[in-house]
Amino acid sequence: MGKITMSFEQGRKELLVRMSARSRKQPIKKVIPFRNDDVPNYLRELDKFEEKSRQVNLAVS
Amino acid sequence: MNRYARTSPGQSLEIISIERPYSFFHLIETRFGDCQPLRRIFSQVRMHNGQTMVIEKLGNPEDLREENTDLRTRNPDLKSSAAYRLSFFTAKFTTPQRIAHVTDEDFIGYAVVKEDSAPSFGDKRRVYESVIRPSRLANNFVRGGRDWPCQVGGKMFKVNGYLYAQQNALTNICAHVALRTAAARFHPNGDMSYREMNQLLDIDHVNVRMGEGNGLTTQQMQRVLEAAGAKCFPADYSNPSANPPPFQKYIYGSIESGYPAIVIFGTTDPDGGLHAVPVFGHTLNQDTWVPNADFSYFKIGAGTIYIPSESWLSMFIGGTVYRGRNAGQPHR
Repeated sequence: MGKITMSFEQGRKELLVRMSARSRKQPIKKVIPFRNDDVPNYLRELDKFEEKSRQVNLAVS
Repeated sequence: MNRYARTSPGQSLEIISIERPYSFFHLIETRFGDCQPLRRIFSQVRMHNGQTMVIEKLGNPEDLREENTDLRTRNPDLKSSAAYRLSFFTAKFTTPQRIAHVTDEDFIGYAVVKEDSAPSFGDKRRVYESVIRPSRLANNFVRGGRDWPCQVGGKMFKVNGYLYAQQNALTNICAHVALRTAAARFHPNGDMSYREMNQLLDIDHVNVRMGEGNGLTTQQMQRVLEAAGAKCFPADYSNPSANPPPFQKYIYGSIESGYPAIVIFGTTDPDGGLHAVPVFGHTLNQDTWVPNADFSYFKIGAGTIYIPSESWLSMFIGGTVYRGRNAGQPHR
């Protein structure tokens, strides 16, 4: 493994450029924004998911 | 102490050397018919380098009596019932007197095999319950296990782990046995009987019967667990419009905190019934290459400053009714 010359962020961008050039297609970019401030929202959504799950009644036999 | 089959005195005692080249295949075929989970138990005993097995015929402890009463309520033609306790040791001994010198460190665990017979359902042989200490300690992590006492030849031993059980499909089904394994983590008595579960759910074996396609609902299962003292976090993945966290995260978080999970899944069974299995541990292999490679070679997640330990997990450890205890279940 060679000496590290760039950050992970730069490395990822470069990798995408190389892969796009090889495949001659545009990469599909998927961003999942998540910051510390999002934790309360995430937990609220989780509570909703669990509450909905509680209403489901499946038969186990 | 006669409440449980595991702690009740035996009525007969047979000591068998199981050192290689002793054949468990021969034992199963000649004495225990085709009992798949027992094969898995014997395999684990071999893994633990088992040297001696003790087989005791059991009398009529309260838990077996209770099940037989319920069986007779459901199937009044119940003809006979017998139970045997098989105990496994790493120590070598050939006489009952030597059991007094054997220690808990030598005790691998036990299995109670129950045989019920009736014209209405034929002959049923199953592992009524079993606890075998976990194996492959280097990469198997079982969380929240407890000590289970077991009497062998008049001496009390203990083994740590989770209880495995197989359903009789008459008074209890796969949901009951999964609940029993999980509920033991919370129940004040340390073990929740099938009768306790059935009474809680008004299953009387006459008007409301188990088996033949009848089972428990997920809401009933939650009621049982909550009655045992558990707090349930249900996660329903059957609704395609929901956008839940991956189920692996739920399970890993729970078992790593010392609390078992129950996984319910569909099968190819023609009646469309769902199946339930308890999960209480996981494997974790620090040599797994992919999570490190993702980060260093492929620069995946450039802003990632945290890779969850769950990434190094390959199997969940649980019990399955047909395949036996401490079985690895796929994580993906």
